Parts: sequence; structure tokens; C-alpha cells
Amino acid sequence: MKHRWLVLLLSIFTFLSFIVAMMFGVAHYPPGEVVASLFTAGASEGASAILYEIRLPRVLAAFLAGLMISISGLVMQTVTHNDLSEPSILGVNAGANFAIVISTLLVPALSFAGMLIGGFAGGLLVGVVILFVTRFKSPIHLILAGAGISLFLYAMTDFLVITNNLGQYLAFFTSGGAAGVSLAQLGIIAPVALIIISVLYVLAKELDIFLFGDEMAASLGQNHKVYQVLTLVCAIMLASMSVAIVGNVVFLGLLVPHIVKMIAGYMHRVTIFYTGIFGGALFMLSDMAARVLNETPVNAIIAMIGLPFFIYIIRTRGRKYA
Amino acid sequence: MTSVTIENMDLTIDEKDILKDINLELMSGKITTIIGPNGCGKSTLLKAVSNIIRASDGSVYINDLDIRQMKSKDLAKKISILSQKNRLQYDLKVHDLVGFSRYPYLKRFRGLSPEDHKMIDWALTETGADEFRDRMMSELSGGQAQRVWISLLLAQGADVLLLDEPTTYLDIHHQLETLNIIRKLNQKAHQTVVMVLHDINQALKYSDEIVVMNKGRVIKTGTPAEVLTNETLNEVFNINGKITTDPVTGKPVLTDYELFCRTVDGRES
Repeated sequence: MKHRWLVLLLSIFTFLSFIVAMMFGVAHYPPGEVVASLFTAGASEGASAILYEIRLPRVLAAFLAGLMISISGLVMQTVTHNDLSEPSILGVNAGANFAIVISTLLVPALSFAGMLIGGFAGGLLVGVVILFVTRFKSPIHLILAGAGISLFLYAMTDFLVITNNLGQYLAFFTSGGAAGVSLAQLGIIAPVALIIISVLYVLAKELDIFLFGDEMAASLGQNHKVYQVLTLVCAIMLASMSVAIVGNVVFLGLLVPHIVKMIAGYMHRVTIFYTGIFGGALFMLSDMAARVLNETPVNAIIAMIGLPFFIYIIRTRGRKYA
Repeated sequence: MTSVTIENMDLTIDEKDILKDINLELMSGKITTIIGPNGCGKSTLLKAVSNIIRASDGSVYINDLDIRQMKSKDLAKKISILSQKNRLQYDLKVHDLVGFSRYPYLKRFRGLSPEDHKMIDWALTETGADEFRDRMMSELSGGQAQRVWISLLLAQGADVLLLDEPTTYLDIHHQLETLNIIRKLNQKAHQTVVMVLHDINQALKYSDEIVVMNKGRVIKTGTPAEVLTNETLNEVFNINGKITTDPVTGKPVLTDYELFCRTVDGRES
């Protein structure tokens, strides 16, 4: 019963977020025009063209990125047994970012798919290093290692960007935002994301077992090492792809899974779904706010919601990590 | 009935010998209790038997099958363990929690089968946890939560049940309640039960066989009457005990105890 209402509420929220995100930006359009533009795909001029050619890809990119980041955060929290895990804290975003800049420098004519693969390799490498160093154990170590490696990689990225006059990269990756994404790029990312999320959905049972800890998982006969690696690779792929289209987005991957878990419980069959949709809708709205507020970095918008929540988590649940 | 045999087991963690040369045959269909001082390797032995921690050397056989040759899910169908620290990181509904015990039987893409639900219902009824099956774990008292954990152990459907200090953190009433549930189940379904207990009298009262461990070795095995001698108490726990026979059950009881000779602070007792 509860879930029927939640699905209904979430659907309405997502639909309204989409319409609102389409309406507001540098120029504002009434809802009627938004709907009309979706049905006149071929229009070459006027409001419909702007809405369809520029704003729609951006809104869809924001939705997809929010979805990927949030699910990635959810999986990372479960696998690492750590409430504070998310792609940017684990350093995966910094790794993907650094690898994308490097590969763009080395191969100037690199295709978007090539960029994605580069980003994934970078994210994976950092994820593996951090988890190898901390061995899933102490959340404190995890955060410290993640913050350390992130800072180092951002410094390296800054250096590369500045010495090679790639100023626009810097602004893009550090502030986050879905500007300038094309429908063709989304056409590459969306199917891959769909496959990865389906894999995670099939593995929802395994993720649930992780909630009990390694010992219990072993006594129930789960090969938890195999599933830990598999689900974590999926999460890193999602996060790396999000970096390629919206840069390093912070807090979202932390915030959304926690809100969902507080409302809908911990079973992954349910949380993956809610987290994805809610994360997507929230990021669409944040990106819209960023656009309206003179292209404020979207990270600033999310941080304004995220930071109070982050402190709340530390105060209420952080104590047991001591 | 399922027989469990441990042969020449050694276990080393970080170059420290935790278990040394363990040879044990666990009585099938009976209750065996392992006693021994803190850090003697009791809990580790249980974990090694269920292959949560891998032994460095030696083997464990379940019905003549080496547990290392078994698939982990097949092993989970044969042997289940209740750990000492069962703290949930997240809050769950009782019924959902017990449902996880059916993990080794689940097929991919499928949920719980009617057979699974039958086992879950049976396990909840046997421990009396049925009455709060729809409550959240965080709402339960310590005794109630322990009944849920034992249901989880039972619903896994294994013939060999390992319980690591099932009475810790419980008051005396709930300690006895828990042990009574275990004994009742053992008498009804004849699982092979192996427990670790701290209370010597509880061990004597509820066990068919007692295993005494010290410093990673098995010192003595036998019936409560064979094992509970003042000599064993001196050697293993460093205490002097007064042992009498319970007139009703005929089992030995430890009625009084005092520290034996030199204590930690060096004073004579």
C-alpha cells in the first residue's frame, strides 16, 4: 500500500520537475509551449527549436546523470558498509575527471565513447586503490584516503588544464552542470546505463545480503567477494559516465540514497528504483536552479541542500563509527 | 542425522596460533557445548567449522564431505551459525530479516517459494517470535531479538546449528528461555547443536557433551560428569570449585567457586 502511494507521488514529482526544468532557464517558456515543442521535433526556428535542440538534451542529461550518481552512491554505501560513501568522496569522480582530461590531451580527436572509456578506467583505478588501501574497514580511513587522492588528482588535473590552456574544462568539471550535452551523447550513455542498472537490479538480493556484514554473508553461503567487486564496478561505471556529462557532482550521491532509505527501507529491489528516479528529478531541478541563477555552479545548489543534511547524518548516525 | 568431524585443524592469524591440532567428532543429534577462558579459540573454532574463517591446515568433514570441496551455498544448507555479535546496521522488519535465511535456496530472478515461506513460518513459531513478526527489529527487547536470530538460524534449514554465546547480553530469564528453546528444538528435530557458553552451570545443564578448550587446544571432551572435575577447573579457569550432584537430574553442579592459587595481582588466595 505504502509503495503504491510512493510511486504515485514520485511520478508526479518527476513529471512536474521535468516540466518546470523545461520551462525555466535563460529564457522562460509557458508549459503549453514546452509540451508543444516535444511534438514538433523538426522545428528549425523559434522557441520550439531552442526547447528541443538545447533545453531538452540538457534536462534529459541532468535526469540521467542524477539517476546514475544516486544509484552509484547507494551501491557504494551498501558495498563499503559505510553511510558516507559516494562517488566523489571515494575519489572515483576525481579519477574519472583526471583520466578524461589526460585522454583528451593525448588524443585530441577522441570520440565521446573513447572519453567514457577513459573516464571509466580512471574511476576504476582510483576506486581500486582506495578500497585496497582501506580494505572496506574504517569509514574514517575511507574518507581520508578518498579526500587525499581526490585533492591530489584535482591538483594534477588543474596543472594539466592550465598548462594546456583548457580553461573551459576546469570550470565545467569543478562546478558541475548539464550544459552542452547533445542527444547523440545521451544516446550512447542511456543504453549502457540501462544495462548496468539492470545488472544491479538482478543483483538486488546480493546487495541486501551485504547489509548483514561479511560474516553473515559468508554463513548464508554468499560468495560476497565476487559480488562486492561486480557491484562496485557497476557503481564506478555509472559514476564515471556521469562525470563525462555533468562533471564532478558532490553530495547528490550521498543525499538521495539516505532520503530514500529513511522513507522506503533498505531492500535494494525497492531502493534502486526510488533512488534513481528521485535522484534524477532532484538533479533536473538543481540544474534548472543553476541555470536560472545565472549559471551558478550546480554543486553550489546541491551543497545548499546537501550540507545541512550531511551534518544531520554525522550527528545522528556518525557516532557508531567511532 | 549429520556427523561433523574435525581433523588436525590448525588456524593461524597474523602468525599467531589461534587453534592448534584440533581433533573432534561432534555428536550428531546431540548438544555439545564448548567452554574455556576468554581468547581460547572457542568462537574461532565455530567459524572455522562453518568455513567463515579458513583453517590454515586440517579438514572439516560433514557426512564425510570435506567442507572445502562444497559450494558455499550447499554448505549453508548443511550448517548454520549464530554469531555472537548480531547487530543490524539497518533496521528491518522481523519477517523480512528471517526471510534472508532462505538465501542459499533462492534461484536467480525468483523470490521466496511457498516452501521458503513454510520454513520461515515454522521457525518463527518454534521460537515464539511469530507474535512480533511484523514489528521492526529496533522495537524489540534483547530477548525478543534473540528469538528472531534463532528463527533465522532455524529457517536456514541446516542440520548442524552452531551458536556462539547465544545467551550473552540477555538477563537470566531470557538466558534460560533461549536455552530451553534450543533444547526443545534439539529434542524434536534432532539437529546437531554446538554452542559456546560462558556459564559453566548452564553448559552442564543443557549439554550432552562438553568440550573444554584452553590456549587453542582441546583439553578434554566427555559427558558433563566426566569433564567437570576440580582438576579441570584448576587447569583451565584457574579457579577452585565445589562440585555436587543435582539430586533431581543427577548432573554435576558447580555450587561455589573461588580463585585458585596465584591470581593476576599475585596475591595468594
